[in-house]
Amino acid sequence: MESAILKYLPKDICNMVKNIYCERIEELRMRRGKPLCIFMDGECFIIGENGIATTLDEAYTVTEKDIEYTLLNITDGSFYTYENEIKNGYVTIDGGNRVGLAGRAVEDENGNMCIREIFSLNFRFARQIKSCGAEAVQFIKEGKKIYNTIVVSPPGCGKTTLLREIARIISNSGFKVCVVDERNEICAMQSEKTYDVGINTDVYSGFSKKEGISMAIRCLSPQIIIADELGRKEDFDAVCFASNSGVASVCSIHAKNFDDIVKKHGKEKITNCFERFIVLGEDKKIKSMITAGEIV
Amino acid sequence: MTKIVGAALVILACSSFGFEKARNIEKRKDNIANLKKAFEIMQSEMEFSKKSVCEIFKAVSEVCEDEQIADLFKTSADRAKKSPHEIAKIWKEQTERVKKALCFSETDIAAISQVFNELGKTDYEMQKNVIKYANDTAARLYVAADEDCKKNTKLYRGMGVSVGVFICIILI
Repeated sequence: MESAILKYLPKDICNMVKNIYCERIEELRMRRGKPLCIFMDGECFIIGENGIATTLDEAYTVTEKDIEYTLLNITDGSFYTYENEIKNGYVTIDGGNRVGLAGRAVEDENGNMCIREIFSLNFRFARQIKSCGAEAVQFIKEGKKIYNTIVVSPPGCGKTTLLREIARIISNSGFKVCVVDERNEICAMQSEKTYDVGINTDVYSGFSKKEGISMAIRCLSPQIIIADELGRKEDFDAVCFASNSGVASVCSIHAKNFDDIVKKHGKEKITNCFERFIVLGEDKKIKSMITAGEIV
Repeated sequence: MTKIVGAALVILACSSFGFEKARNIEKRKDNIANLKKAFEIMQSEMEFSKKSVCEIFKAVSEVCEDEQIADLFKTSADRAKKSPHEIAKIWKEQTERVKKALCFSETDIAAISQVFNELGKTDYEMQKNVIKYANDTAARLYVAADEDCKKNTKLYRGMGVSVGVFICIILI
């Protein structure tokens, strides 16, 4: 099966990637004036007209036109409708696939930084891997109780995939789940083909975590809230608010290991908000599972 | 008798040619006015609903009273959906396609076909300028078409009849 990403690419690049497309591709990187490359199993491969290139001379060099073409395609020819996402450095496309952007920053009249001239695009291939969440669910669920949980891993190690699976399993086992999907990645509600996040799941798509969580608590009486990539202080505040309102949260955060998040956000804050910690390794498997009681 | 019938036919043919030309001039003016209205709808759709170009074209085609203008926007929307990276090219091709039906002159088409060269390619503030430019262009063309209408419709009608009569006199 081909990825939804291919339809956004210029014809030449699409043909090159199509030839080597497989489920193992994690990222496709287009950098202006640089070789086209993909990441598979954590390794970088440069792409040429005949598939994976062995030397730089064989590699296809991405042009400014390629970037412009792709950018117009991913924004439906309407750059202005994605202004907010672009300001945050990404656009989410069909299938919950995220395209990261890098370019020249300019300041708008309100002093906010935004990207004007795009130099690089990074397509991240999203997938649903059913059954990857069973072990995690066993760890965070105890009878009718779900513990406040945070999934910790560096980028690209499967946090979103795991959250999606946790949502599906918990929801199908009868809990009322609400997913606050700020970047439209967990559920891909804007796509023709959405991900299966369970029969008992409501989705707030495009809402910030702060707004989505408080709205969910006010309007949908969820038992569990799921949110991806906590980062700002207000995100943690929203999770604490949910916890104090009797709603469990299952979230994710970027960090290499548990010590990193303690360094970044402070032990007290982390242990106040969460009772279970799942750390994913670079091999995309669960590396460790820690309870708050185990933390010294 | 044959001469009378022949003369009548000649006058009728020349008059209808003159009237047709005059009608085309009026039609051109009306169509430019309709196109300007369509641009204004685009402006409000973009401002208040933040729809994509494709959706805006579709919305305009649904509310447009004039069939030809509606068709211009509908076809552009359909094609833009398939190739969002080619909106400027699609608009150019579609305006060329309908130029005869809309009675637009070469100058009109040259101006209208390039108003959307930057459509969708920039941020919202710049897009407002793109639509404003399209509106201004349509307004400018409307003024020229109106003048043309005032100046030439009567002339063409009169000329049609006069030329018909003149040919008859010569032939008889």
